[in-house]
Amino acid sequence: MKIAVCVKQVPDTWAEKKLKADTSTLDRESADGVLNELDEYAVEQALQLVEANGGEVVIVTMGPERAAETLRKAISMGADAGIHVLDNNLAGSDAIATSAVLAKALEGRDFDLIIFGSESTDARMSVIPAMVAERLGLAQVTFAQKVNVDGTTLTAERVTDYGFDTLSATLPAVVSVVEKINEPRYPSFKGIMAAKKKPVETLTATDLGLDPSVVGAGAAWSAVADFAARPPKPAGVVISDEGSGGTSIADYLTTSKFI
Amino acid sequence: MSFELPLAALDSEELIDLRNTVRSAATESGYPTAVLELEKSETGLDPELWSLLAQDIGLCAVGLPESAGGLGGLAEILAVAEELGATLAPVPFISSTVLCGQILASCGESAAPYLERIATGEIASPAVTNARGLWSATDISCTSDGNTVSGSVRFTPFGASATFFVVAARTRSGIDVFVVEASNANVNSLRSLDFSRPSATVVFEGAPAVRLSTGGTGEAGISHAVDVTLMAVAADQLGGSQACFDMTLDYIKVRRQFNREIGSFQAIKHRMTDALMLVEMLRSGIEKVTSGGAQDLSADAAINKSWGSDSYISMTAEAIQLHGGIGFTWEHTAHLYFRRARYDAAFLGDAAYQRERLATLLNW
Repeated sequence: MKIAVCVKQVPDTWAEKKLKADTSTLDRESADGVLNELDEYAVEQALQLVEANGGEVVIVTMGPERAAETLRKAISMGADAGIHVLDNNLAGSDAIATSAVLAKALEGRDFDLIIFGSESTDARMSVIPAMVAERLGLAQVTFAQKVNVDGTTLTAERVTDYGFDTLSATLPAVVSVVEKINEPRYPSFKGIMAAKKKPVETLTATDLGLDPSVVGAGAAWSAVADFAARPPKPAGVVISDEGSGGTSIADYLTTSKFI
Repeated sequence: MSFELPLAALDSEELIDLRNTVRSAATESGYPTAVLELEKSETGLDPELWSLLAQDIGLCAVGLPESAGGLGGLAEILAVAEELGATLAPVPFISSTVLCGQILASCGESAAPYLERIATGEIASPAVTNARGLWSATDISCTSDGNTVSGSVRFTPFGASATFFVVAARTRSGIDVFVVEASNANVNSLRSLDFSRPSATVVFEGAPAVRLSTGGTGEAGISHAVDVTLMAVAADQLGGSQACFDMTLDYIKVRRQFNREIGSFQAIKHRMTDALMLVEMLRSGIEKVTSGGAQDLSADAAINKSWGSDSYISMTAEAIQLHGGIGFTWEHTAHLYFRRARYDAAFLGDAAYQRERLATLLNW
């Protein structure tokens, strides 16, 4: 089977993220870029499915030049090839435009399965998998904690507020996975050595036949009107215990509606 | 010697990826803090971590000949050793993969089955040192009649976890390399100051042995393997020193006394500057070798191991002091690095011994 895994480079999870003053978009230079953590689970799931059923795994990403590092990291986990959509005109694209780009990059390549992490740790919208599925006219199984493929039938457990639903779909399909699904592997020494030799296709929006007016910051359906830094943490309250310490703490907890 | 260790196999980006993989695997397994749990351990080994690093990531084959499934060279050995040193990972990379692996690699075809065992993650332990834990061609612990080995070797690293021993034994024709299966040896675990670096005393009493080198050719192979290992220990010292420096720097920026961060006091700044110089000198010494600048690996190994031994002990002592009260607690990792610094300094010869060796090498 042929599986695509869509991944995103995000600022290091532990770094303080900043927005650029002029464009109100994420300042990608202010923090190290890493492979979105949830996408590692998507890559792992694809590798496990291919190990069990045979086939190949192609990593797909859209992002600036340095997103190539992320593509290489995902490939070094054991994937076979990569597709990098690299185009300055795509900067500032919103979820709707991003889904259009990814759908164009994926269509016509006969993928049996397209796997996403359930969200990115920077934007955290969780909508791209559904949007891509809709654009490609494929079944979508999002928030999966377990995925099985038998022939052309996919069965998955979809996490819900009350537990999980068991869903099935016919391939090709789009799946997004949650972190419960597996334990992602570390890139091995051999995988790291092989990653640079794996084929990576670099495409622009024009190569994909996209109208420049539907992508990039100019085409975004929403705009950041204003933003401000998080206010500093207020200083704590010191209560000196002169016999009434307990009451003071209880009062504080009551006012804060903890009790 | 039939095998020449390559300088490097990965480019700089790939080497960073390898470092990240090793560091993440060890820290996500709970290290360095998890070393505390090994205090009562019989083996001092974390088998799960070793299986992950050795088999899944492939570290047990680093620096071995390609014919045995090996990959990478000296630069990769040192990068891995540095990352494992930074996290105090309780695994036998230096003793099994590097020291035993390099000795076996020097023995040619006859060692192939044993190299393959190492390359699949089996643990070998080196039994090549004298009663003081030093490698010296004029003073070794074992003798052999060609088919068996006899003698007692102290401080064999991870001896209790080894499936076989790589032994240096004196024969009538000189020093040669033998392999003794662990089932033919008496192994007594020693209590180690560093919980993550266990050792054992191993006694061979006419133990059946497989001879891997002849005519005293083992000596040159062992000497070269020891030099590579000394560099790996220096890299371990660098990783640990840098980790101590970094955690101390973080601490002095947040710990407040007299209404200001203690890092703003000049006395602390001076001590940190001195500490940074200790770390940077060691980094420069190691980078000289990985960038191909070493004319004579023995001399560079002696220089780096002697500097690393002194500087790691100083750095860990500074880390404890500058952390104040918390640095003295059992739960803090500072003492775990201090223990490793003591172990590393003693392993294969302390700073004074290495300086003496350097003087001899340079004909002083």
